[in-house]
Amino acid sequence: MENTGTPREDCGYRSGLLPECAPLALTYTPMQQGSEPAYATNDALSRGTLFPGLDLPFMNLVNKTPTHSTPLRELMAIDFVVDELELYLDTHKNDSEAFATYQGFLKLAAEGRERYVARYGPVSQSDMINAKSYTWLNDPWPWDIGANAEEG
Amino acid sequence: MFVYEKKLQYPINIKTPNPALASYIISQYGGPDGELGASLRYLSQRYSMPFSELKGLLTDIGTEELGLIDYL
Repeated sequence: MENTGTPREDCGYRSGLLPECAPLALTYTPMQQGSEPAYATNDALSRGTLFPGLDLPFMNLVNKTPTHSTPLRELMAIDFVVDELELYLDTHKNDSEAFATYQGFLKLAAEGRERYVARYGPVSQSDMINAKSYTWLNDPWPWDIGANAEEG
Repeated sequence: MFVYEKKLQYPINIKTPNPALASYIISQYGGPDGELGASLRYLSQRYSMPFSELKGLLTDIGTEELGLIDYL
């Protein structure tokens, strides 16, 4: 196939269909490497990935981290990093550095959850182990308006 | 077996309700391209997956897709 660098006028490329003389394109999917650098916990939740190497914002629109943080948002951020590391470790199980990081975040998540539950109530039903009554049914539920308000 | 967590993975705070946009978003719930179908596809593809890395990956992704139903 000839490639002159400019689309040919007789090719019909403006018709919205794939023209006969369309040049071939190659797709390229980079493999995620081991020992990747990582974003800070709160930035990871905002960016939608823990790994700067995987961060390709759509149309370069970047979601900014809010300046004020709430206890729920902090818990979400730590849990998000745990989820990201789990997905990474699923395919990189011999990366001992990442595994140590993962264990560190599991500990942070457990501590953070304990503090959150003491103040706001159970996140899962087993969190009621020290509760005085069955507080699982208390509002808000995750889909209620204001349940996720930034001011907490 | 699944355990429900009474929180979202990412905060949602709707400031301006928009019914027209909402009708598009709800189409992501069920149907051929919805989260429900996506999560079940991941979770049932596990049963014929020969590699343990990918069994783990399909489990994690399918579980997260189920979590996305609460957003919608």
